[in-house]
Amino acid sequence: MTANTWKRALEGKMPTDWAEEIDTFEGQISLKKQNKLDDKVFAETRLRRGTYGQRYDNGQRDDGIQVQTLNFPSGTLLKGPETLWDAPGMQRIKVPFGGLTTAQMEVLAELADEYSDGILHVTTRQDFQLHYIHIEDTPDLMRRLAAVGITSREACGNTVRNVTACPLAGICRSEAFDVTPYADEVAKFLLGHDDTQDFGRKFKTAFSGCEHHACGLVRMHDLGFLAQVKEVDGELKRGFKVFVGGGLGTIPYQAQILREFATEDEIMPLSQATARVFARLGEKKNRNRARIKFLVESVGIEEFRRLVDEELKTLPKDERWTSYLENVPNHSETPVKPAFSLNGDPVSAEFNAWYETNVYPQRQEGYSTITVNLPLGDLTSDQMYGLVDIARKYVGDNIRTTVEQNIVLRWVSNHDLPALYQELAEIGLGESGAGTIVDITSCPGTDTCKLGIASSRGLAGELRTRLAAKNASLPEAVKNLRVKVSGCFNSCGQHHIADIGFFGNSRRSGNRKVPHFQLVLGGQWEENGGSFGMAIGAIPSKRVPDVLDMLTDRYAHERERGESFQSWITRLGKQAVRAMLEPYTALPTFEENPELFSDWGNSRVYSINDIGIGECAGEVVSLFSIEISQAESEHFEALVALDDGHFVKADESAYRSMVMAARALVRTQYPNVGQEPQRIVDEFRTRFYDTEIFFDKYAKGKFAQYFFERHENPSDTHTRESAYRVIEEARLFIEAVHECEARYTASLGLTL
Amino acid sequence: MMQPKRLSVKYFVQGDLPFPVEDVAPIFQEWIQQHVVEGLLIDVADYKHVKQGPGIVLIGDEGDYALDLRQGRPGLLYVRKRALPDTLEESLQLTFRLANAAAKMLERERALKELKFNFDQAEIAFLDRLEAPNTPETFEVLRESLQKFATTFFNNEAVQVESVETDPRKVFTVRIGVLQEAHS
Repeated sequence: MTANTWKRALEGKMPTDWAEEIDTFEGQISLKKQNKLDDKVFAETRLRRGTYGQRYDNGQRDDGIQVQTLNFPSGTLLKGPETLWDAPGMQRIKVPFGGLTTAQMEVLAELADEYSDGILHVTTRQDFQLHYIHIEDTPDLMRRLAAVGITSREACGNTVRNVTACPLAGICRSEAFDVTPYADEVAKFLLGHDDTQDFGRKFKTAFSGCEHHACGLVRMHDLGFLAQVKEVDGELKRGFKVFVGGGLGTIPYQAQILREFATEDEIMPLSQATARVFARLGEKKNRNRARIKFLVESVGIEEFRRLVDEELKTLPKDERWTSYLENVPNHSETPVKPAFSLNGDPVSAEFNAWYETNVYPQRQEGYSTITVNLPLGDLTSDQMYGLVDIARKYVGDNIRTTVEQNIVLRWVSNHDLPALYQELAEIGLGESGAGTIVDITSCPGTDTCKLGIASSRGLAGELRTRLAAKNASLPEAVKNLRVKVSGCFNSCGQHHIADIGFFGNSRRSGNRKVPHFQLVLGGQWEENGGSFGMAIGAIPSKRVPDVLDMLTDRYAHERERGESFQSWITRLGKQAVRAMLEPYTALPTFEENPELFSDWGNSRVYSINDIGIGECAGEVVSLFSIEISQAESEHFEALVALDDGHFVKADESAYRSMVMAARALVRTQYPNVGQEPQRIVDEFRTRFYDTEIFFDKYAKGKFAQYFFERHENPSDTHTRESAYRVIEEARLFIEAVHECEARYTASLGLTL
Repeated sequence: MMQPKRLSVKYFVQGDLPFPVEDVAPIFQEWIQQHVVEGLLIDVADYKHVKQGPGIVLIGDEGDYALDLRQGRPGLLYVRKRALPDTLEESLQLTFRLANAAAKMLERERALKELKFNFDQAEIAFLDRLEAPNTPETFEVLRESLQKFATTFFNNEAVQVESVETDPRKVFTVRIGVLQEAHS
């Protein structure tokens, strides 16, 4: 006889407060089914439990021939604005600092079997995601997680997201100290805290142990802690350099220094005070300006520091700020096996290749941390059970997820490495190439994300297959490059901090859309995500593998001794790089090359906006196409000027490119608009912004606001950062003009 | 009587020919366009990059169809996720009927011209650990019902029902089919 509900079966096994929260959520689901809760309120409620919508959840899907209506059984019942109740969704599961136990892994595998499609996906923020979940299954799913110490609370919504940390923390050879207990305690402290419930947008926190590696990528986080040991009053003290206001997203921002050194007992109140300032002064209405980076930028870092310092004075003392510190010195991990070195027995070539890329010798002699290289961050539930068995045998609960969508097993006795490799290979998890060009990071893109423009996973899978086939013959300098792919400009695939990054967009050829990826070059993964790449040009999706081959071949042959990829790109200059791309950018008609009009891993004819096929098929080049290409050229001039250190010119060219793009769009309605910028802005605003014709379904008028802001408030001071920002904003505005024109002409039934 | 919330049926591919899994995704896209199989069809998920994974999955509302690669044995898998009938027998009938129809449709696809399924045998998974934990007791409780269902479904008295998954962490799975001797 079995308990007939998970609630009953797990009674007493879940933390009481978590169990109550889940019961409440289940009650809210019931209320929503009875239409007794507002759509927006319920949407934020479920998002705060990590329960997301997925692509096609508005009940419409373009099947490549026509748009089909998905007639779900619950009809028009919604779980959020334009989000149908029965539509499959995604459940995000937070894993603070990526730390996992084998018991948790088993439950994750069970959930994938019973509620999803048997696949577990590791994200770029050390979370897990399960896809194709029904909303009504989520309370039991959450109960089963709660029973093994996992909550999905605040995995999404305007909350403190998963607190991430370097997966090598504690075993790293170059860290100041192990940040694990600090990341763990800060995650617990901020979870559900009263001061973190009223943000205008999400808030991402990270911990790093060292400055010069990628580590926890603190420079691209809303709040980042970089471990340091300093002498204070003659005594060595642990503390952190604290960063604030970083982030990728559409326009990436480097974090600024909030505190040069905060001692370990100061980080909790400092986090709390920062959260309070963000909640009080951060933007709430315009979500496109609501991340803390915009607040820091608008008030300036010095004023922001002052505000935080003032807030600190008002905080009531909380014993949780320091109570955990007495246990920090006792924090340790227990290996399963004693340390032994490799015994010198013969090993296979496959093992050697894996050892070279997937094994990190720990600072603790005789032990290594190994990376389980997951293709696109995916593993099956069966593989997870297999991994649990291996972990129990060799490392116990010393397991972490990584932001490169892999899993690491820590504290492997070196003697066990060959056997462990063999067992991984037997469950299909023995791939080498971790942390190399083969190990491509990708967000979900058009596979499941509502915002996806192009198939990031399809592209990443294709690149991975091709690169893996020739991995052994790749030059060392190429092997060590990092490739990251996002399905849109939002940068969930972290394309800004890759050597070679891509983000999805599209272009029109005739009356059809062609999936493209914008190439982003020169980002820096090391130094905690030390610098951001720049968009160079858009390439048809199906030609991206050829472009990657071309770039890596040329880098291998043309680089000077010791020259990094970033330095090579800088030395060549953007004009030369752009010229390299030109052979790949020309678009044929659909009849000439239909292959180009579908995306990787998807045989459907590509479409985002359901463009109908008009009578005058696509050879005619429209006036818009000519004029938007001029705007693109001007934008490129801005990039070149930035490279040359001419920041004023870069800013002006970027602005001009926006004016030219707006003019190209205005002239589809009003050919006589003339050249005067104010008039172009006015006409653009009246015809396309106020009418919301320009508005994208998800971004709304966000990118037009970049244009208006630069037009109305040109900066008096010009720095590399300010010019870079305007250039990135111009890039996004031009992309949005492309999209708008395609939608607009389609709505008129025209081909121009 | 046990009634799981989810149930799946898998027919295995005959023979050891390398399976052209990359050809399946376009077929499933066409199935959506032309409503080839029953149920509300939503999208195609491509997991061919995962070794011995779910392969290519045609995601639906009530159920998913997949060219499944798990256990290293390709097969047509139908997972009934929602709207199961009231009894186990009816649920089995429904799930088998849809799996059978989809497998036959795949056999007819020109791009997969050599594809043949073994319809004399199938694997059933009870995707509900609460209702059907993977234990010998569960097998004992279900054996008679499954035997009866198999006799009717295969229209043959000589059928076999066996539990195939011994790892208690995994979902309760049985293989049913016509006894080889009886078949030959």
